[in-house]
Parts: sequence; structure tokens; C-alpha cells
Amino acid sequence: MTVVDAESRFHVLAVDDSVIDRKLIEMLLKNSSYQVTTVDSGSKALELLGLRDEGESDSSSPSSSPDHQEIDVNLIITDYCMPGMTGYDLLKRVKGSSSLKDIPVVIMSSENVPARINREFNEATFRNTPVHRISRGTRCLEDGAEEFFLKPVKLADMKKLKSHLLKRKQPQPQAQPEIQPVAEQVEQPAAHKLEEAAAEVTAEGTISDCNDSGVNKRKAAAMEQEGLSSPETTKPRLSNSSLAVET
Amino acid sequence: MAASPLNQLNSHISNMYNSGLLDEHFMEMWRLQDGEESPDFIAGLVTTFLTDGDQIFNELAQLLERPFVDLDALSNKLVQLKGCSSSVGARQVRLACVQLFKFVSQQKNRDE
Repeated sequence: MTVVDAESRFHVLAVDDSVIDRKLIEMLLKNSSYQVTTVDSGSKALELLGLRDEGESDSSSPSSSPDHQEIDVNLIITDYCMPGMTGYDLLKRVKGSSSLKDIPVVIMSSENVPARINREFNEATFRNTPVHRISRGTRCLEDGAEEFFLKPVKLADMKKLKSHLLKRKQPQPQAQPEIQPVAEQVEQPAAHKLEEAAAEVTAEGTISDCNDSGVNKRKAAAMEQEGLSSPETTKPRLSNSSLAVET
Repeated sequence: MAASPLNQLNSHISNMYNSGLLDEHFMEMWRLQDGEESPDFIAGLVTTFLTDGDQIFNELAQLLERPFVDLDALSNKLVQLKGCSSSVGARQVRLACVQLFKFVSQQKNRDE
């Protein structure tokens, strides 16, 4: 068996505000032979990745501080609920960046609650689509996350990372047909895990840990004022407002 | 012949698992530690949990002592404790948090 040196190992950036969870994910990743860097916030993660907080990529500004340590990572694994920038916010920032969008992102969360999706304007019908609910995990997957792990993260979850890392290592377009089956295989376990998670959550009761509403916070605040139920509510509530339609 | 300290520890952990204090997640990490270069991983994790958990407990107690209990602050603390207990494998603590959280949620719904 050859010794794997630092340069040939995959580098994973783990983001979590909880000390315990950082220790745990670091152990699991190292156990799976990944090089690990841990940070306690989304903004620190972006800093390390070379994205300034205003959303500008470092390549657009010639003068970046020489003290700024920037790293190259092959995968980002982040907690969903964090103060300030949530894991979902971080996901959107990474996927919205030309330099970082190809880095696979995995989200970890202690809950897979139904996420309130703000009403969106449907241009075809010129009307706002009603507020609807999808699970947090589904929403993350739909918005670019490769996987959604329910905490506590297990060793078995680490095995799912490999395929996402290997996918990226194949740059040639003609490799696409080979990649497809891998992607399908991976999709299944994620969906399966979500079903398991949903069952688990119902069994022990849902806990709402942080807000799942969209990026537009003012919109979310306005909706709260209209009397729509907060995400903390576990049973469906009929809103007083005539605007709310829960499907 | 007295059991070695390690055997005693293993049997203590088995008992805790069998009585529901620890869950499968803890056992997985415990087993994982055997093959690890850092044999103090579990000790470090548990120590951190006990320290942080202690602090959260004190904060919970303070919140509950107030004449008007801040249910939102209480919920947040419970979520925090549920998170660490779940990550460390402390099953009873986690279940207690879930139970108390449900109760607090019911109280909140009643108040609104």
C-alpha cells in the first residue's frame, strides 16, 4: 500500500458553527483520508475560497491582501443552520460564483423540516404562485447541493462523497455518458435518505431549528406580519390572511 | 481476576447503550476510534459536550426561573442542546430536548 501524500488527497472544506460538529466531521473526513480544513462560519469559508463578502470574486480586484490565505478545495460540506450566513446562503453564493460554482456542495442539517417557499411571480400567468412547502433537503438539492445529510453525520455518509469528487475530476465532455449513471446512482440514495429522514422526523417530532424562508428577508418579514404561520409550527395552521394558500 | 480498565470501560459503555443512554451513533464512533490515530477523540468530544452542555443547562435554568419565560429563547437553547447531544450520541438527553421542545411549542401555540 502506498502512502497517500497531501497533494493527491482530496481537500474538503467543512463549515459548522458548532464545535462538536466540527470535531465530528473532521474526524469522519480524516478517517476517509481527506485533507480537511474547518471553519465556523459561511463568511470565513468564502474568505478562504477567495470570495469577498460583497460577492466579488478576487480575480476582479487586483489588490487582495497578501495575508489572505486562500485554499483550493474539491468539496464543501456545510451545516444548514448557522447564524449570519446559513449553509443555504453559502450554497447560493458558491453556485453563483464563476470561480467556485463547480465545487460540489453538501449540506448537513439536524432537521429536514418543510421549508416555506416564498410566493414567486409566475410570468406565464401574471400571478403569484401560492406559498408551498417542500422539505429543506429537497430544496437544497434542487438549488445545487449534491447531497443532504441528516445529522449526526455517519461514516456511511462519507462514502457518498467519493462519487461527487470523482465526477469533477473528469473534465472531457465525451466522459458525460459515463458520468450519468453515477449521478443517477447518487440521486437515489439522497432521495432515499430524505424519505428515511422524513420518517425519523415524524417519529420523534419535528424541531424547527432555523428559518427556511428565501433569501429575501424583507419579504419573509412582511409575510410574517401578514399572519402566516412561522416555520416553527409543526401542524398545519389555517392562516387568517386570505393570501395564504397552503398546498 | 479484575477486569482491565479497558474491559471495564467497554462494559460500562455497553451498559449505557443497553439502557438507552447512548445510541448507535456513539457506538459507531467508539468503534471507529479503535482504528484511528487519535485515540482521545471520544474523550475530547465528550469533554466538550459536558462543558458546553453544562453551560446550556445553566442557561435553561435561568430562563425557566424568570417570572415570564421567554419561550423562543428556550426553544433555541433546546435546539442547541439537541444538536450537541445528537452529535455525541447522548440519546436520553436528545429525547428529553425533543420532548421539552414539543411542550414549549404547544405553549407557544396556546399563547398566540
